[in-house]
Amino acid sequence: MVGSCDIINNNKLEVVILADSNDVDISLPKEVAEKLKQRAKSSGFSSLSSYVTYILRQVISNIEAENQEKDKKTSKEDEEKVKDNLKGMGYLE
Amino acid sequence: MKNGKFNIIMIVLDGLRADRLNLCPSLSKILKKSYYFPNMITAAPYTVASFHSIFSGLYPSKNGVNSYFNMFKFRKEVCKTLPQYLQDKGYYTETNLIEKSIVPPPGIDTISVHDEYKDDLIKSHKGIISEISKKENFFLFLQYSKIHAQSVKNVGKKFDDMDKEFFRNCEANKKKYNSYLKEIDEYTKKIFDHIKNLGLMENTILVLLSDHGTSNGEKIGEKMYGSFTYDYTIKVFCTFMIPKTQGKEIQFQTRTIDIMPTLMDILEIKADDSYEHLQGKSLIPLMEGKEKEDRIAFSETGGLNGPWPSHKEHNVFCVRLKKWKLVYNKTPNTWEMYNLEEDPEEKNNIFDKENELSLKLQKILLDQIKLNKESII
Repeated sequence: MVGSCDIINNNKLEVVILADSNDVDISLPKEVAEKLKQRAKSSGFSSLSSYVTYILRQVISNIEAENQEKDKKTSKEDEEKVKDNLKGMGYLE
Repeated sequence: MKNGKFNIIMIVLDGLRADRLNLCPSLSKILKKSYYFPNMITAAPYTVASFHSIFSGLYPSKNGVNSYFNMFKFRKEVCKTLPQYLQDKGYYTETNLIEKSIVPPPGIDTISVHDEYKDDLIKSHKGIISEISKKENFFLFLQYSKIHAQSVKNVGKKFDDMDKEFFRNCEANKKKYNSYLKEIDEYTKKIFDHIKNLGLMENTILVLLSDHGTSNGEKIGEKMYGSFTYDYTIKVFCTFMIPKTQGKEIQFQTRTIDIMPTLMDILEIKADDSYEHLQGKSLIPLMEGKEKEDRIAFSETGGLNGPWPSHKEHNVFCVRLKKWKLVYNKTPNTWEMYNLEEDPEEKNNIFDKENELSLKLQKILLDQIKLNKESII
């Protein structure tokens, strides 16, 4: 059942990748999980897993946005791409 | 009404004003046979941001595409699109547009592009529909771009946003715009007949809508759309033709962000709450008569030109109730309020910072702007 197992941060966070699945299991310290569970409920999430995944998606999104900002070459290329698109739609000369 | 196997054909009549549908007889006939929402408000009055909102069920400042120059900044890690949900369900997904960048790419199997000036869209869209009808389950999104093409050619490239010649000739502008409608009506009729002849109406939801309106010179500073949030660009329409239903006209105010949750509701798809939570709500309760209320709508934009262009972030916001509208122009930091029943052309700004209703609407709008910037962690 277990595809791979990764222990991070002094045994506190354990990531288990399940074979034949798009999901992985993550273990959290109980007191952290309890606090997050309460917060998940009051914020309208259906489960602790959804809430934790939501948080992690936000982290990834913020990291990617920061990296994009820092990468001046990519930013410049993107801006040129935008301008080409706007020209294509007739908005820029 | 609900069926997890229906196909979807969604056709956007780009730039079609909601107040001109009476000039489109064939389209009007279709509206009578379907769930027709004549008072829908677009999340953003220009195509790029409007399409990203329709595909995500989220306001532009939430999904990341909150300016023309942010067209590639869709927050794909945190926003799940309608095509992604459909792809997960085994659907084949396809779009035909004037530019690939105007929809978020996640979840789309095939994106094709047409030349809005040269291509015969009746012929090419009929071909795409014939091909896709061979698939077991599909989602097809078509952009009808002829109003856009004519507007760019006859207005965009001829005038600037402050051009007196354009703004003092509203009647001539209106006449010119109305002359584009014959072609759009013919397109709608021929495409609808084609869908019917292929036998698709038995198992396909047909959604027709406009993504934003178009100026006829009502307000100096906006020759086409995208600079302001007045009704002539934010008021749109949407209609759902659902197999084995009669349909009806629903006058309550709704939002373009409600389209995706409605389709998910019909197809019995549950939203994944590990992504940004949908800001729109299914329209089925309104269709079934179980909900009888106007929905509060927000719209936002940032002009490429106009009096206060904003290329990197939206800077014009509004909240619209059926009777009232409050506009916040962030860049010059001005407020406008209109009684839409007495002043539908939004000529008499009655904003008063001492007035209770002005303050109440101001709070609703500022809270929403803040909410769109924050995650719910």
